[in-house]
Amino acid sequence: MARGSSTDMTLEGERSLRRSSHDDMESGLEVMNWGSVLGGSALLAYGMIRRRRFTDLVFAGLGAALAYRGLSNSRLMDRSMKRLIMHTGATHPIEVSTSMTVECPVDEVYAFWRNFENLPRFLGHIASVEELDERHSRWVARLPTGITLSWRAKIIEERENELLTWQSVKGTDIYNEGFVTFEPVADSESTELHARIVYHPPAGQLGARIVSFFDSLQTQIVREDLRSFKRLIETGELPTVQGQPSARGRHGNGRIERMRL
Amino acid sequence: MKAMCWFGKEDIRVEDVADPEILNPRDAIIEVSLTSICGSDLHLYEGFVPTMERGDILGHEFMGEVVETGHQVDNLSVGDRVVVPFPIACGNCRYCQTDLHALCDNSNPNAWMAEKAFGYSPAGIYGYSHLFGGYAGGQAEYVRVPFADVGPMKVPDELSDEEVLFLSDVFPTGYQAAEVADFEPGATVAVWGCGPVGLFAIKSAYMLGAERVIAIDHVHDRLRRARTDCGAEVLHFEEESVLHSLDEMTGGRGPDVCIEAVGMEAHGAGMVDWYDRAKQTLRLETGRPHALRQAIMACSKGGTIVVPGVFGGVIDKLPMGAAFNKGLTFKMGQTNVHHYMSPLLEHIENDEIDPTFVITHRVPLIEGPAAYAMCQHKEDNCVKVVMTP
Repeated sequence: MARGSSTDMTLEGERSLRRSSHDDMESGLEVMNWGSVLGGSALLAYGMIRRRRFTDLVFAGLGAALAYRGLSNSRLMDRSMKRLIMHTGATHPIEVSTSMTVECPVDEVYAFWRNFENLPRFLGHIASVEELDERHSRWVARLPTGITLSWRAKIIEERENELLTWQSVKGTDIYNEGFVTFEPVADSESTELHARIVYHPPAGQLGARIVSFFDSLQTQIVREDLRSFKRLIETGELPTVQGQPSARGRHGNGRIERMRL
Repeated sequence: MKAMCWFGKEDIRVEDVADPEILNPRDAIIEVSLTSICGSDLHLYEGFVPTMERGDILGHEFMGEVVETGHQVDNLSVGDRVVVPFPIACGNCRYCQTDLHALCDNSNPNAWMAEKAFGYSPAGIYGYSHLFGGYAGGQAEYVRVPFADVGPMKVPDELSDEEVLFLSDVFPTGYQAAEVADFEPGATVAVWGCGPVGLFAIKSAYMLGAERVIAIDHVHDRLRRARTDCGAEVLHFEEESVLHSLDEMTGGRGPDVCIEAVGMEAHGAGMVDWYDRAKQTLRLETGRPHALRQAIMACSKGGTIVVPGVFGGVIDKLPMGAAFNKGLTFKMGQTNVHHYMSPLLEHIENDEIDPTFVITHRVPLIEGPAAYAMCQHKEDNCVKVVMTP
């Protein structure tokens, strides 16, 4: 967790994560679908190399999603093989961090975030968050390909108006952990948010290499989510051009609006 | 409805498209009564602004009548006559709160794209590429106005559309250029480019107490306007040495303020012009900064350079050594129109300025494509075209 600048609060977040055990990790991963991985990677590479039109970025996004899906869910591979790959992979987590300042006092910002019903409003790829009990929740992500991923998360530590740390638990599609910190900005009514999410790529060194392709896309997703959060709080709505007219046809305008996996 | 649509370099057509709809609670729909072609639209016309898509609706200078409002818009009613500022601004973020509406944090749906290009995203702009949000523009019969509770300003019935339309962009843009220079009364101001923004900058500089304004262009008719309509001294940059003349005119000191109202498609002379044209064509640089280079060289020691002219990407061979060693101050950026609309409306109401002096052509929207070509090639002494949908 050495990347990025650290405030006192983000250091707290890191400590909080480190204190938690990683015992749950093993079965957090499914086997790989190599067809998906290779096809997706090819599409991703094609999109990233061309990058001339926005459709190429969309290709890249879809490719990344496909590759990711292949990595995270398949019944094709031998279980022992899977375990071998998984354990080597666990040492190469992908870390995504981003920051955003919201023009709103810290208690209101925290309350908005902590209300789980609000989460799908700004977490673009999250279809639903269901609160199971005080500490546990069930998350469902829907990718543009129609693929659904789900996992259960537990709150590791919660400090009102300061810090929220979570970790996904056993038997989920995608192992992740992270924290978000809330800090009032001196002499203002605004709040600084710092989020850090760590994904554990499934397929060892190879997986890390493939996944590093879309590391930047992942960062973009987290950043867009935080931005949406800020915008909802500050303006009450999300800016959009989806559904506006153009000479491309009535609904031809939304395709590059938000890059989502 | 009819709308002016972009299809490629020098390919603009009036097309039938769907009417806009309310998409967000703070939206309004405006029936456009008058719209105009901005000099910055010509950068789109020439294909110098990336992220335009075939079929995009153009236009960021427009006004009209409110025909529908979202349920969060409580300051406007159907039937209100309004002028709309070209940057889209939420009014809530820290930039809007400090009157920097053109830097709004929340209005660009494609902020991620602008962050890649600029580090941080400025406000969304109507009809000005997807980098600035991909918003449909106002060169159309109807237009959707987001954050309508913040942007549109009601205008008094006594004033005609032509008198108030330019509050949407070029008048505040020229005014901001002069105002942010923050010069002392008695200062000498030089203005590169005598298009509408340059002409408004000249008038504004005098309004703000400049002693002398010197205007620089290569179109005789525009220089004539700068002299007769705005009271500037003028220099034709192809017929005389601008640096030498400015030096002579200011007793060897140079102008205190240099305003670059030209932007990325400046015209120059000689080898350097061909160099820039070649590089711009190959997209190795995105602007031809002749006027900016000259302004930097001409500016007095300790002076201020203001850039209302639009730049989008990277430019070459900027004389940074001159700027540094003369201790110049740079001010630039899109205009915070919201901040200027109401005070400038007062200037119009008090007959201190009649913005209609820049209008040279009045055409129906349907003739817009030809008007773009005329504007780009400065034919028929074209300065400003207004269009009626």
